[in-house]
Amino acid sequence: MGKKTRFLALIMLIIFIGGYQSCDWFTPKTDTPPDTCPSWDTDCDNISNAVETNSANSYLGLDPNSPNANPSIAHGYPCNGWIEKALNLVNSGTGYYHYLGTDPIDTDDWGVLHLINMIEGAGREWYSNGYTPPKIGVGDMSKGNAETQEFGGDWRPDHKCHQNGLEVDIRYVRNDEKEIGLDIGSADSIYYDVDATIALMNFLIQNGSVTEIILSPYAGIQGEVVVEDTTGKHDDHFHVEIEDPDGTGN
Amino acid sequence: MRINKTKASIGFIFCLCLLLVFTLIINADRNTTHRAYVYSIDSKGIHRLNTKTNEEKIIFDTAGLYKVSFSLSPSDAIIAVLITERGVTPPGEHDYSILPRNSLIFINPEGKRIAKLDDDVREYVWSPDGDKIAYITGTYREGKMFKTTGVYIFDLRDGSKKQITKDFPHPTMKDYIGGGYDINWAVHDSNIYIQEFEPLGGNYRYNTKTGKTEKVPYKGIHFSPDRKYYLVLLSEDSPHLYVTATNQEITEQVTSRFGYLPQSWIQDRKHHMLAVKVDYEPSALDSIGPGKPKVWKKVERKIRQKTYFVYDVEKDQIIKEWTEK
Repeated sequence: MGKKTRFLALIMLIIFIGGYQSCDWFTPKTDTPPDTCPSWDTDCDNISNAVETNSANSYLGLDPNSPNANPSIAHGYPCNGWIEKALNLVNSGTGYYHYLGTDPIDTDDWGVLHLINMIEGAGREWYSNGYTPPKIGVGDMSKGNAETQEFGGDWRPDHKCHQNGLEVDIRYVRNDEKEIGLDIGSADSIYYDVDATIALMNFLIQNGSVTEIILSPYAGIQGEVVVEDTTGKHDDHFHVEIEDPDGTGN
Repeated sequence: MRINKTKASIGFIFCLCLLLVFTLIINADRNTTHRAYVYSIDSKGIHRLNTKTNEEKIIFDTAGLYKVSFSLSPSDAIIAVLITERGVTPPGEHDYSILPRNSLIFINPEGKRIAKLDDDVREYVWSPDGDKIAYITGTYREGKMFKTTGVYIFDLRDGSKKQITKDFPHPTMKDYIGGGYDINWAVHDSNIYIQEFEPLGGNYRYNTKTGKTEKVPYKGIHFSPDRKYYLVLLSEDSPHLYVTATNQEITEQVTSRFGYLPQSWIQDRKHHMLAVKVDYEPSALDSIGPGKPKVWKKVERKIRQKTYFVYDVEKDQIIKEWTEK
């Protein structure tokens, strides 16, 4: 082999080795997820294992061992819309619990993936930063029925909005560690923890594209996305709305 | 002496007319009548301040109560005190087993109890003559509208109670709990107006003379004293203002001027509102740079001055203005 040929062969070998290192199609596929997947989402599909194994979501056929695409779509607007293939929030998770009020189980806690991820992500941060107890009290999201697969839509007279899976109501944080209701317009306002509630709101903002927080003037909180409601309707909870992840008008 | 009967009759009629005019002037605007007492509430009680002597007295003890509010009858003769009892959540549970519940107590300006309503009163309104209240009963539901159970009239003169409506079934939404969620006893016709929550087709009017309930085409029920306009106060978004004759919304006419919509009418038989503009001292947190958290503890701002406006909705004009510092 001449010098030129040996030189060219060497160059091609270097290129080949470099390609092998960088090209995925050289890497044999396996079903083992990468080591970087978090413990709550072992298939790295951005849908938590808890949501994928929640029996209320069984109609979607989600697999915690294999990546699934986000099935949920918010149609229309929060006050005039519905949800396609909504996801149900697990009733209790790291750092949060869902309270029913007078609603039957799994009828009032449906939403799009981004809303659920916001709640779960805030719950993990709430827990890891030592704020529990109490856990975050999560209330109404959108209505839904797994049997009929009807999700969202008109929810009057309970709510005018909460129609397309982008909104959630959350209890104000108590300073006595109790995981029960709190009306900050009542004498029980002495149990209101404003600093913890501010931390909670900022965890929600960090974990979701929050566009609005509606709260009571008694909350003593202000901010870029905050709107005060003086009617008293938000004295026992604050309302969080996120941006429509798939855009409006669909 | 002979009395001229014709002249006497004319004189008598003239005196009657003078008396009538005099009476009308006296009653023309109750808001300018000096009030004998002014009332306020705090965690200790309902306080009555004598405006002549400056003497203050607690006429109702609120210490230890969960939630209390009050309102005065149109003549200030009776005070209605709405009391909420705290609900109960069992240990280890997250939801109420016993819901918060309301009752309504009526007292006179000396604090003497006149009557009590144990019905779970959610909304109530005084009759224009102050002898009765119309009220909505319902069950508390955390985080959402109460469950309505009926609309009633309670007569304080004899303690009698009468149900005027129960529910309004919805033509297509089978799970909808149709019923009253807001109520108003209109000054212009003395009838009771009942609003559904975000109604689809309109609201209801109970005719106090005939006892009949009928649907009305208005989106709201809080009419101006002359009935030309009405406010929608029961809504998950901001209050709204409409022209009664056309149902045309004109909210922005007011909000563009004052930044908000006042939620009541001045009771002067016209269509005037009282708006307030508050000027605050500048605060260091007025401008927030990037990188800061998006919510923070509210800073109590010092008020520099308050300006009050009497606004004529029809003329779209401020007709009176004054400032307090």
